[in-house]
Amino acid sequence: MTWLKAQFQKQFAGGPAIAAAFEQPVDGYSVTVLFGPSGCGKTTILRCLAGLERPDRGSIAFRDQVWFDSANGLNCSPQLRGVGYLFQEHALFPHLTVAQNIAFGLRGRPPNQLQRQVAEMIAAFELQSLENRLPRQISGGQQQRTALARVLIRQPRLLLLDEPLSALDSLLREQLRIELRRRLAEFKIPAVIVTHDRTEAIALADQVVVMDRGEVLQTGPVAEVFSKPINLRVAQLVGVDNVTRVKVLAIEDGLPRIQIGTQSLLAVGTAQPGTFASACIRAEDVVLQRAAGASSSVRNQLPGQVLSMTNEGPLVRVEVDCGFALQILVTKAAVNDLELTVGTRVFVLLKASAIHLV
Amino acid sequence: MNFPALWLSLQLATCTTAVLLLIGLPLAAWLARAKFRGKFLVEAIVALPLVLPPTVLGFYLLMATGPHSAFGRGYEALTGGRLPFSFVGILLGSVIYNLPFAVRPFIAALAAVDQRLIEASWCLGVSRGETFFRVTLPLSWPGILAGLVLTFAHSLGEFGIVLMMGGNIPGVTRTLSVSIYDDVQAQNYHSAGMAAGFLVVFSLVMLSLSSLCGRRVLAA
Repeated sequence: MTWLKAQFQKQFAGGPAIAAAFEQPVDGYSVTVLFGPSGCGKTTILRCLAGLERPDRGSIAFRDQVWFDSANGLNCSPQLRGVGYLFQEHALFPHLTVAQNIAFGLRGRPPNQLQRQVAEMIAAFELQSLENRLPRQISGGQQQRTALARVLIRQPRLLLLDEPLSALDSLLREQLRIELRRRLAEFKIPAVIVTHDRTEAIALADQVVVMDRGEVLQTGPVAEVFSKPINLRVAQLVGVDNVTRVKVLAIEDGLPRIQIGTQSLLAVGTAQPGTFASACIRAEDVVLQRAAGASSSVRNQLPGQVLSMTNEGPLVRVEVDCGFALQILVTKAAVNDLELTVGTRVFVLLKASAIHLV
Repeated sequence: MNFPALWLSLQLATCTTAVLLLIGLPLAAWLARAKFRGKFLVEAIVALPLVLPPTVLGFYLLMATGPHSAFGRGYEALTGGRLPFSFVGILLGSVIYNLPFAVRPFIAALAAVDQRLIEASWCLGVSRGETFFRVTLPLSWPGILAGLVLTFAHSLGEFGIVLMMGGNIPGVTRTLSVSIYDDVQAQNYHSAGMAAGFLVVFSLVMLSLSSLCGRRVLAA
């Protein structure tokens, strides 16, 4: 297994010190998401990986090649790194057509071979009949596909994506998020993606690097980081209490039925039966009761047992095992009324709309 | 109107514009992107001819290139000629005096090109030099053209520095503006008026062209 190893610091005058520290396997498709609020230094890290910014100290190595090493003053130029960089607003060349943009980085090849490769990319990214349009004459989604085609035609060794979906409106964003993941898997290219959008992070990442104010706070598989933040700062940043990998079993009346732990539940979201997805459940959206309820509008009722209880100001965080571990936030008054302690048997009420599939 | 003087002025303006394209564009490309400590000083030196009277610049140039200076002696040993009172001499003066008229519009045009486009090109494996010709120049040429038109119009009416550096030799250093001065001294007001009127109309046309080019930059 070969790796991208990044371990460096960079400070701009008047800004916080930005420190990157992560490793990523780069043999095939794997996605690391740098996640954090705007201004936390994620884009700077991406620019350092591309060679557009020079770190102050540290090193960057890709497979057996050193890209940057402050110890011996080595700094490989962006041209020699062979990465594909997808800019936030796509950065398409406004004076060139879609086809010319896609062919831009391919030079010194016989014209017929170049033409064939560009035609292949145009077909793969469904840009037929737009070849001769200028970037400003096509839609945001088409611009993104053109930018991706322009980068992928060079078969980069590593893809760097800076907020790839933020320039698009929300309706298109969800659709393109699914498409982006499919494309990355299809081209089998490892990627580092920067985003401040937690849905995007959960949907795209294998590994998440949570950052705040220039610092890496936590690194790990996406489900682990989002469901088990190591401290309060990470918990506040990630903002989702329960993230679990689930299998989509079937679609019932337009709602996906998912396999979560040992339970089968109804959720909300778009999904294909037989695929895997991430289910996000906010702790405050779950209802607890002592006995099985009479019929109600709630679709999912699960028996469970309290595993642990933690005070969080006026609220109590209750962890329940109901076939899978679930974090639930309730008030202190509710804890008293229900006489909850560790080991208490309870029923968990989970509305389908509280389970969000991404 | 003194036609040999007009012909000489056109030659001087054309050569000045060509030289400033060759040396002004790299200088502007450097100043538009580079960040270094003494940058304000370099920018101030480039802008100096905007505020300095041409007699001051001409005086120093004359001293620096005269037969008693090291540079003047070196030039004479190399070419057998002298810079003062020659066409090359007034060309040198004109190039230095017109530097800000070319370089400042160049800088504005080059700096207006989105840096991300340039970086996108580098990340697509395209060298810095090739990126300049395939991305920067196609996106900034209207502003560069505006600078060239301004330079040409300004150097066509060159007077002070030509008089200091070149004197008043017909066919060698007597430009249109110098001939207007001569005509007025000789009370030949008709000829002076023709030349002056020509310069006003020509300059107006050139400035309108320059402004139209500039507008294209904003629209792009």
